[in-house]
Amino acid sequence: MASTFMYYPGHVPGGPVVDTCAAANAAAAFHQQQQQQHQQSHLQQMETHHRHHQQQQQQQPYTAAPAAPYGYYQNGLAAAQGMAAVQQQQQQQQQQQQQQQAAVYYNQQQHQHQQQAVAHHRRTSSFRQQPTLPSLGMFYPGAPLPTVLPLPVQQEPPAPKEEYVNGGVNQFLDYDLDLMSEFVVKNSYNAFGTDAGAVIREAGSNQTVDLFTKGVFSVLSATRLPAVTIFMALDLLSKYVAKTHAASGSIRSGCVNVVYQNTMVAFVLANKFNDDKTFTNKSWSQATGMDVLCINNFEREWLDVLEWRLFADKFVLYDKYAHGFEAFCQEKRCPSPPNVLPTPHSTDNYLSPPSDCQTPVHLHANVYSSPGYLEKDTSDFYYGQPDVFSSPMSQFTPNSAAAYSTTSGGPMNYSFYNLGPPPPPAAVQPLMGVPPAQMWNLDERLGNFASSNYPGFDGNYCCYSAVY
Amino acid sequence: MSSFSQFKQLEKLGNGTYATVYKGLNKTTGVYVALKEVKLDSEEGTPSTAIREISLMKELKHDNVVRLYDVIHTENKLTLVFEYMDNDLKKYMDSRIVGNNPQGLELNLVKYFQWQLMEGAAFCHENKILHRDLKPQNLLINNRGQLKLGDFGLARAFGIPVNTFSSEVVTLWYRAPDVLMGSRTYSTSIDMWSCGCILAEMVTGKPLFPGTNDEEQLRLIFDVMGTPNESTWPGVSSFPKFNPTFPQKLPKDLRSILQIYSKEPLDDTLIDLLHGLLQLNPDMRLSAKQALHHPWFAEYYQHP
Repeated sequence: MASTFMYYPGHVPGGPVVDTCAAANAAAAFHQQQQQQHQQSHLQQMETHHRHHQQQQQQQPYTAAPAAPYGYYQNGLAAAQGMAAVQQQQQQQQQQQQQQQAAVYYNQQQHQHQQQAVAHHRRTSSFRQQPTLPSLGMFYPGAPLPTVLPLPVQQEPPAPKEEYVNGGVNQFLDYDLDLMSEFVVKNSYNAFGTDAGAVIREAGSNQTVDLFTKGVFSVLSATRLPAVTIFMALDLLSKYVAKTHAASGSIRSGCVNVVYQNTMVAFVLANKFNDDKTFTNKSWSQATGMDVLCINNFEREWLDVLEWRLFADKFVLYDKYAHGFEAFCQEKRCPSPPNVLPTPHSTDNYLSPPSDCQTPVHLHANVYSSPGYLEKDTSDFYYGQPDVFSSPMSQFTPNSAAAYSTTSGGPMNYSFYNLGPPPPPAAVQPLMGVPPAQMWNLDERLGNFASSNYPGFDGNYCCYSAVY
Repeated sequence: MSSFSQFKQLEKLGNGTYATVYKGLNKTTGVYVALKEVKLDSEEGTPSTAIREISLMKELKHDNVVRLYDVIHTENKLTLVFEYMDNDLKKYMDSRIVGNNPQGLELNLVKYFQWQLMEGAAFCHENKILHRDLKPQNLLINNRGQLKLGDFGLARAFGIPVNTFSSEVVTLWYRAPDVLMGSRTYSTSIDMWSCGCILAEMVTGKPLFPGTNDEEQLRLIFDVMGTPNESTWPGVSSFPKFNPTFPQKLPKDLRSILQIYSKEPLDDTLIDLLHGLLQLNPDMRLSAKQALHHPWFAEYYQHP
């Protein structure tokens, strides 16, 4: 029986399933995103699985092994369908327990369904499967449930007819989600005058960049924005940063929260401008984990800074973005061989967490901190003292160089894809020993920062490259 | 940047799809304006209609496009300050109904309005913007006979690749047959069909194809223009909502249909222009620029 479930990478026949704990487990969440488009049929499949599972338990009460693989599906189901579905399932269990089916029939069906499940699993999991990856959690309180968002707002004349394609903007994505997420992260950092490599060097690990990339992945999975909208968002982002830089300079600090939040707001505006299916800011809040009032404030600020001119140049850079992404994908698929000497954890740094990676439990505590940190527009104070961090130090430790190389597929020239302003000379900040994951974590002390003239700087809230 | 206190709010002019429009007076300059007020919902954020209307109209400065002067953005209200126009084409035509009989406009006025409509549409299209909701209500006129395109809430940029064009655009009566059949790859031709419907409506005083649902709308169109098939419109059968069992109709004589509602004789060039704008196949439809060079407008382009 158990051998039929070997498709599940983390599964040890007869042993515990790696992925059974929390529905918020990152790997399960990603699987579940991938499965959204097949949600209906998948749901039926899962229910069927469950039915058989119940029967199997009845028939073979002392066999523990078959329960394991279902744990995966049940987790996915619970997260995707919410409590209602779980309750429904429980009801169904009860119903099913009253039903009796011939064991022969059951065994045949069971086998078929398993095969279906295998096929389905393969079809919907194009990304690198990392079921053993500890949960990195999400960035904000109320971590985004990576579900495909409904579309409450549509551009419509009177007598509208809803045309839900698949929840997201596009039924079929015209790009690879993984590559696009990395491309977005790279360009977002570029827009802020830094790059992912520099961030990794500063942090001594790629965890922050990794989190950022996963966050973008999650948001793009939920919204299914077309590529052109994403490119427009990146274009708007570089314009916005260029304008605010002229005005204040503080935005250029490149703090990962600032980069993330502004990238998300760029998505919001590009979607509203460019797509016939748009999301409310509430939906964006659910997808990004940002507070809706924060998104509203960012949105207003952006429109003011850009003077509402989102189409001033008719998006002349579209072709450059499109070609840049093409080149990026090619480079990623056929990376030039890295010529950097391997270091203890160099080769798979980007894919697996560093050895000192926090446990899911630890991260959980970090992620869900103060729910109120975004009550005010905090974008200007928590990275507000650049001079404090301007102590230069060498960034070229073997470790960071290796991390750099694994991110980029080799020691390549970042400016090759750089569509924003050229990155400034690498400037590195000490991180004061704060694990990068904590960069995403803000707590209520931020409120104190907001009200004080001089931010009593706490290492937990420092930002990376605050030098320029 | 204006502040709201700069304007004196006068009478209500109407309710738009997502906003209320008031007449306003700029107290500093003494100039009348139209104040379009959009209530902001904290869950929605800034409505996409407003974002499009503002960002697109900011790029459109033309005599035949209503000018957007300013935007006042507060936490719970967004006010768009527009050039004031006396009327819209719909109300203007309604005001001329005698008893129950709709009256067409004088043909020289129809020509002047249509010319301006073509000029405005051509300018939008040159600037890579589709209006997508052209109809008499959205064509604003003033007492000097000027006509300007307004309400860009459904407008959209084109030229860059578009994956998500909705086929649920344009008020039903003015919606092109290709869009009715589910096309999502439309371009400027979507506006040109509307312009053809508007031209006919100005001539007769009543809407050309007043359908109540998608199916009836297509039926009304095919009744007059003929039912398309693969030989008259290659590719038509591959539209998502193409129905092979559409009642097969032959094209009718447009002139005789319209003439009964017009006091003036309709000349050949007018009918020819109508045929050019009301081509079922979007690829065959006249562009705004081509329409401006149509012989019916000869008096304008020969004597500017």
